[in-house]
Order: sequence, then C-alpha cells, then structure tokens
Amino acid sequence: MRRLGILLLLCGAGPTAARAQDSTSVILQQARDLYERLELERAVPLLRQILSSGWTSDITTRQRVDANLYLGAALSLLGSQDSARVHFQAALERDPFSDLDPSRFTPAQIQVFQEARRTVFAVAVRPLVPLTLDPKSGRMTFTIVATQETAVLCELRSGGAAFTLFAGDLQGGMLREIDWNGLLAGGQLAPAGRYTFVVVGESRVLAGGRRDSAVAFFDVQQDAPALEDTLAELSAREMLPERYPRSATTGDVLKGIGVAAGAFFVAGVVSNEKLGHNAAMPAATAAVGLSVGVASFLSKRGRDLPANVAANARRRSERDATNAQIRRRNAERIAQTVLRITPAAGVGP
Amino acid sequence: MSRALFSAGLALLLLPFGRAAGQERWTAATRLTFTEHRVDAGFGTERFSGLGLGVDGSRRFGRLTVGIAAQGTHLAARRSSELDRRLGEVGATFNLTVGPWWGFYGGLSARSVASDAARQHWLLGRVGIEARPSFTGVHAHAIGRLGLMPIATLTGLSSASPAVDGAVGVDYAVGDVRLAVLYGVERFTFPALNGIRRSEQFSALSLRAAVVLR
Repeated sequence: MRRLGILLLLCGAGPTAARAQDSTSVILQQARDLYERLELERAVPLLRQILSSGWTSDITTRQRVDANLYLGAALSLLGSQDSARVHFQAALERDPFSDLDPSRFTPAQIQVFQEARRTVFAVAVRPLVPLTLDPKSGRMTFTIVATQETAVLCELRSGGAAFTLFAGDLQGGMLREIDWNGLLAGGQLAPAGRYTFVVVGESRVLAGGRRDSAVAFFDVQQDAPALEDTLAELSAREMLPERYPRSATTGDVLKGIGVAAGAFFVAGVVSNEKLGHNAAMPAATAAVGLSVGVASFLSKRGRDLPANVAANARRRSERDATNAQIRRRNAERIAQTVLRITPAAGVGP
Repeated sequence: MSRALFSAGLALLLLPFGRAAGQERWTAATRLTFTEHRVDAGFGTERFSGLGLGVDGSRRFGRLTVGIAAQGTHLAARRSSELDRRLGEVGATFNLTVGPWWGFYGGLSARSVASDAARQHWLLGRVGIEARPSFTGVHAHAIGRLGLMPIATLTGLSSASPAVDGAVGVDYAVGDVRLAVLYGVERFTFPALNGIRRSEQFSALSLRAAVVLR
C-alpha cells in the first residue's frame, strides 16, 4: 500500500527531471530503509523497479550503483547468490570504486561481492575536486582503483606530451593514491592548460590480459604575481658610434684646409695692401692647420672611439645588470606561483 | 706709464684663447709671440719685428669667459736708420659661447709703443665673432676670428677708421694642458692729417701654452 502510494506520488509528480530524480531518491531511500529493517521481500521489488527498463524517472550512476549493491545484498541474504553476484557485477562495472562495508554487510555478502569482483575487470579514477596547489608544499592526489590485481600505468598528458606519474601493480579493490606536486618531468612548473590524467590497466588475473582505462580531465591555471618585462635589446639608435665616421675624418682635412685658407685670407684681406704682410707667419699657420687636419684624418680614420666603445659597453652592462635583477625578481615571483586546478568536462572511467 | 707698459705686448691680438666649452674654471697661460709692426706715416713703410713674452689668466662663468692679459715685446727696426721700439700691452678680454662651435669675443686694452725718442699710447676696444670647430676627437680645434675695433685711439691722432682684426689658428688639448698656435693681424688706418694718411699694422704669430687650474 505504501509502495502504491509512492508510485501514485511518482505518477502525480511533475515531468521535470529534478522532481523525477527526487522520486528515484525517495524510492531508493525507502528500499534502503526496508533493507535495514530486513524487510527484504519489500525492498527487492522496489530496487528491481528502479533498475528496470520501465523506470522513467531520471536516475544517476550513483543511484544505479547503489540500487545494484542493495539489490545484490538483499538477494544474497535471500539465498540467491548467483543473482546477487550479477547485481554486484553490474555495480562494479559502473563504478569500480564500489565496495561493501564489512561493518554493515555480512561476510557471506562480502564473499559474493568479492566473487563478483573477480569476474569484472575495470579501472577507475575518482572524480577530481577543485584545488589550489602550492608546488612547494602541496600535493594533488589522484585516487585510482582496479577491481582485480592489475598492472597500471598512470600518465599526465597535455598538448601531446605525456608524463608518467605511476607505473606498478594494484591489488583488486584496493585504492591507490598518486600524488602530483604540480611539476612536470624536468621540474618545470606545469604551464596553464588542459590536462588529462590517464590510467591504463591490464589485468593480471583474467586470461588474455584484458585492458581497461580511465581518464580525468582538469584545467590548470597559474596564479602568480605579474612579472616584469626585461629591457629590450639596445637598438642601433641607442648606441653611440664606436668608430669615427669617414665623413668626420674627411671633415678634419677640410678644417685643416680651412685653417690654411683662413691664414692666407687674414694675410691677404685683413692686412693693409699698402703695408703688405709677413709671408712666413700665414705660411707657418697654414702648415700647422694642414698638419693637424691630415694627422687627425690619418689617426682617426676607421679607428675605434674608445670613449664610445666604453660608453656602449657600460650601457650594455647596465642593461644586463638590470635584466638580471628583473629575472631574479621574476624568479622569486614565479616561485610564489600556485596552480588553480579545476575539474573539466569529460571526467569518467 | 709707458715704462710700465714696456714689457707688455700684443695681448689683444691673442685675445680669447680660453676654451669656450671646457669644464675648467681658471686657466693660466704664457705665450711666445713673434710680432711684426708695420707703419706708413708718409715716409714709406717702416718695419719692426721681434719676439715677446706674455701671460694671461681667465676664468669661466658658464658660457662667459673673462680674462686679463699682458705682453711685452722688443721690436727691432729693419733699417739701421730707425730706432727700435718697445711694445707693451695690458687688457681685459671676454669670450661668450653661443653655439657649440661659435661665439663672440671682445676686449679692452691699453698699448704703449715707445722708442728712445717718442712714445705712443693706444686704447683699443674690439668685438668680433669667433668660430671654433673641433677636429674629430675634440682634442683639437680650429680657430677663426674676425672683428672690428670701434675704439682705436692713438695719441695725437683721430680714431682709426676702419680698424679691423682677424686671426686664425689651431689649439690642442692634452689633459689639462692646452697648446695653441695663432696668427693674427690688426689693421689701422687713420684719417689724413696734413695730407698724410697714416697706416699701421700689427701682425703676430703666437705659441701659447695654458694650464687648467681645477
């Protein structure tokens, strides 16, 4: 009568998924209560109903797994071990993490469950939770399980690259936690991006080495203080010429010629024509001017400008020192980086 | 007074030798000058020449350099019929740097030219433009100078008109020492007196050595 009431309640419920799922939850909870009171004959039909193809309400994987586990447990108590094993297998296939609590189930039930486990081969990774990971002290934990003794290989994949986190054997039904500190193989901090945790298992029990795999996707974001830009390479415009330009040394000759011409101009034009002038003095001055011009041309042409070379070297050195300081500050900031890890769509065994 | 000026020379010919763009404060210098004095007072050209020594000092105030100079020269007459002369001069100078390679120069000086028979007193005020383009490497500069002497008076004569001066040379810096060669000419033409038009000309070739006092 009570079951009928619930069914009527279900029929009267609205078509929305939430309410339908609520219906599943209600019936499942009712079946659990009946099971706990050992009213197995009443619990079994409810559980069968939930698992039947005619059940139209929404049902989650977790609910389906629970229904199979309780149905298997009830059938086991009722002496239907084979049927119980079938439902345990169904639960394990959907969720390899499924297990029976020894404090709540009898040894006989657990034995049947273990027998079911030996016939099912599956590996799984527990769904991830959002996490802030400090690579210096924190760890991200991947929990994996296999229903049987299994050789597993756990990898972290991103952008075509793979990084092995664990390779070894798992005992059937035993959880294994694999820690990751946020670093990749070379000790490099994991860059931002989409990552896939992949566990591939090969059964050591079943003939033929059956294989199964499970993946968990997650996104990594680096959370670090803003970094400083290093100074750009010095452009040619920012550097002093390191050699005397040819035009400058050519100009020196012209200046020498100018001094000579000026000497003769002063002697010829500034001097009083009637009084005349001393020819030796402008000639000597012209000779000195020309000598200085030619000497400057010969000594400077194509030669380095030591002061400019030193100034440029000083500028490069100052730039390098500044960049070294910036890199050091950036390294300190990068060392403070934490990883924001968010589970991504696609998670599942 | 003329005796006191006897040992002075053609300071104004060698006016602003000080480096306009340098960083120095005080500069002290000495110079060796070969001076030639030509005079035409209606009796043909008389020529006198000789070596002289001079000293000067200057101080920079930003773009302005001011200094004092003194020089004395013994001028030997070319002809035995003429008397040797003694030339002495003292003066104050200035240089004003306007651009990286040019500026103005000027000064006021008193000059005495004396012989055993007579003595002349000159008062000279000049102003002009000066170019100092540097040779590559900045250690050496060419010097070019052209100016007028609006004040050019001579004892017993009207002011010379026009009176001009010009100079050209090179200077070179080695650390705190500055060496220079400068050739300069001063030309004076005085108004005619009793039908005689007097012309005088001083030309000098100077070697100057200066030390920057920091």
